[in-house]
Amino acid sequence: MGLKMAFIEFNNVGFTYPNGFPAVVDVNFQIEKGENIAIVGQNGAGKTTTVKMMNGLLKPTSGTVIIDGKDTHNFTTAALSRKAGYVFQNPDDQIFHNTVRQEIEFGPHVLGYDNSKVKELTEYSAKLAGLSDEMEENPYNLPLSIRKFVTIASVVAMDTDIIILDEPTAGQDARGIVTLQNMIKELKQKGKTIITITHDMEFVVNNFNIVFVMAHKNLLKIANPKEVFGDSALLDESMLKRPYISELVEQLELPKNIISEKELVDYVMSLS
Amino acid sequence: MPYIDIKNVTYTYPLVKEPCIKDITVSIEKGKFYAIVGANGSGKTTLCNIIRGFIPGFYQGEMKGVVELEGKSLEEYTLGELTSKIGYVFQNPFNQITGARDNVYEEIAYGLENLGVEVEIIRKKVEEVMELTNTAYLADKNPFELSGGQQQRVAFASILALEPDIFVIDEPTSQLDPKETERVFDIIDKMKKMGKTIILVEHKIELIAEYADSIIALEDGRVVKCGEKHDVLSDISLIEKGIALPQTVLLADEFRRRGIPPKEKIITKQEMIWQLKQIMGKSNAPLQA
Amino acid sequence: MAGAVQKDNKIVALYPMTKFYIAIAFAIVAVILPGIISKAICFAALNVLALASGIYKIFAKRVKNSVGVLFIVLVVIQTFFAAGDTILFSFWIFSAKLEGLLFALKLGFVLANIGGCLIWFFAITTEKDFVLALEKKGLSSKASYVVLSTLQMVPVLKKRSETIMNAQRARGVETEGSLLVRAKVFVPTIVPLVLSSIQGTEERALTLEARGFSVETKSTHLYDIEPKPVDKTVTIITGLIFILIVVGRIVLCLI
Repeated sequence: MGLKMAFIEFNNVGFTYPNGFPAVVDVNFQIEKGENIAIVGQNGAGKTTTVKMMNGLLKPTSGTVIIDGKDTHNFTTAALSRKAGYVFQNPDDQIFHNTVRQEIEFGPHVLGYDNSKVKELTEYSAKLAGLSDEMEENPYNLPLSIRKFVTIASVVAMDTDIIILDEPTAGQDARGIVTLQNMIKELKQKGKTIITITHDMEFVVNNFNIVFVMAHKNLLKIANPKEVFGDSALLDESMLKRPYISELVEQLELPKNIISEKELVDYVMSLS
Repeated sequence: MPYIDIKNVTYTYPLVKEPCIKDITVSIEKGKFYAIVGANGSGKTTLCNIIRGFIPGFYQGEMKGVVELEGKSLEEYTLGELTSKIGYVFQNPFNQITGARDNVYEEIAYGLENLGVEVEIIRKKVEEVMELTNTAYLADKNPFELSGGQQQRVAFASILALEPDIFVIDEPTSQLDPKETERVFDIIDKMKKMGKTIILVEHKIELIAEYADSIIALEDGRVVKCGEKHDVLSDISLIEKGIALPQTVLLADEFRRRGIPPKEKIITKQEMIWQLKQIMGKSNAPLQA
Repeated sequence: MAGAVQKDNKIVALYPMTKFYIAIAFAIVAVILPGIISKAICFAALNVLALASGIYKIFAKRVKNSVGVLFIVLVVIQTFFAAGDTILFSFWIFSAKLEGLLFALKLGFVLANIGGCLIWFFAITTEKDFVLALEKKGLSSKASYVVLSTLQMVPVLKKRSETIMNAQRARGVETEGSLLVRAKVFVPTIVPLVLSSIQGTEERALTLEARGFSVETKSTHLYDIEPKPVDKTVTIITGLIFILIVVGRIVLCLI
């Protein structure tokens, strides 16, 4: 022993559903504290199954998942929820209070923080999610896109080291995406580890340094966005949609390391 | 004569003070594909409900102004007439499964049954729309057991079977992954080619730029811009109104700021590729429509 | 849903209403026949009917688990605790009494017959067929929608409640452990389920509207069932036998 453990460790992890259907086959990775990860891949690639193993909602059927030194096999989900907060894809699976405030307060309250801390965390995460004006509103009177922010704030308020977001950009308008980007930036500064499942490749390019590419129930590659979106073979194999700029680059046969708007303009200007 | 004419419509939901739709006047032409864009809360869904006639009938509330379809106010149509003229597809795939039938084939047929269509014709129509929406392989499945994307295609099929001339489609892909989104747009494109009038609410602005003909841009219950898609989407000031613009437009704007204004209004990917080739001196060909 | 429904069986293939009449007639006959023996014979006949319908296994299992349990409880309680003078046998402080036993057997067979008829009927008739037949008898299409969609919704809601339970566990709600711990989970789970169902109701109502649910045209049926000539014959025969028994019973009373 004596080896330093990573904050999140997946060692030869597999998960097979009781009916015999394998969802994740053999996944290995380490995530250090404070890293921000985007997990991309088609539906059925194993993304959600993988993150559900980070807070014990699912326990690996082979291999081990270690969260901050704890083997998830030995802890309940409720216990692991102190480490990893998970925002479900569908807000309606999560919301059950009559006001936004009560909904956000619930998590930190269950974790046993004292009242002043609960209040502080609630105000903070509501502000971060742009909900300060909706606190006494019934969540079900708000549109789905805002309800999603209610669930994100509810999890952020639990003040866990790890925050897992499942498809946060779905159905969001331009403002919603900006709010999300600001949230992620701020939480990153606070040292949180953020793991985001997303289909939105522009969102990946703009907000994440590390990308996990999943396909065929496996982790194909861990790399930065430049490497991922410059690798045509990888994109084809994982059937990923390219970000808009990468599509242009591909069709015009420009250097593949161009993935941002600025890089493209710079490159084209340098030619003319 | 406009096909659908929305005249000075103002609508306030029950129990709320401020109107959600404020004095909207828009004309819709037959056979064209309109996209309604705008920030969440700008009134897109409400406008859809007004066009379909669910407002004020189903939701109550107070509506001023009038919506005319082929010169006749919506209020003068019977429920049955509206059902067969205007189809409606919603955002949430799951909520569009009626629960009245236990397999996809009969689910798609359900609307036609309610309209009292003869069984032989129902079969023919159901099989046609299953082909069109690529749902034939799901025929015997329970609609509740399908994935979101499959349910959404079944919803399209169920409405297509009723052969409405107009389709009102509210954020059909917001819960779907890129593959399923592509399939849904493929269906919408086929509908357009069949000559249907399409009114679509959608956030995926790149897809709108590719597929739509015209754009209705909303901000806070008002129409801020309406017209041919190139005219509307190339207006960079819409960003300040909370409306997302295609990356192409942002890219074109970046070039403009660096001293290379686009020669044409550029909104689609192919147009941008043309533009880039021009700038890089790789091509002198004119832009093909 | 009903178990294995084999439509090639002649009884199973009958029109739902025909089978329904048989079940109702059978239940009424079992109630009005006088003694324990006649009721027991009825029950035996019902078993034969289930056997002939090719669903004996399902029938026996369901009868055993529902009416069977009730029957035993009834017999034990009545025999030992009802008042009576004829003591059959005694042990410790209990004594079994004949009056109680006879009463229990009589009531038990009545229940077994009524329950058995229903179990037999639903084992050989899908809800879908039954509701469709009722609709043709004049049940409103709205009522039939409520029945069918409710039946479909039960498994869907069950699955959703599992998802919601997971969402609550992920927020620190302990769901593993003692009964008290699990009872505390109840509210966090059930509330979102109800709320989101209500939320979904509005959209589903619009969906139904968009499919012409309120249109007052007479609807057609893609999936259809029609009574056959044999149904008429069976219904008439059932009716005749039924009248015969009822009249016979009344005459017996009068004499």
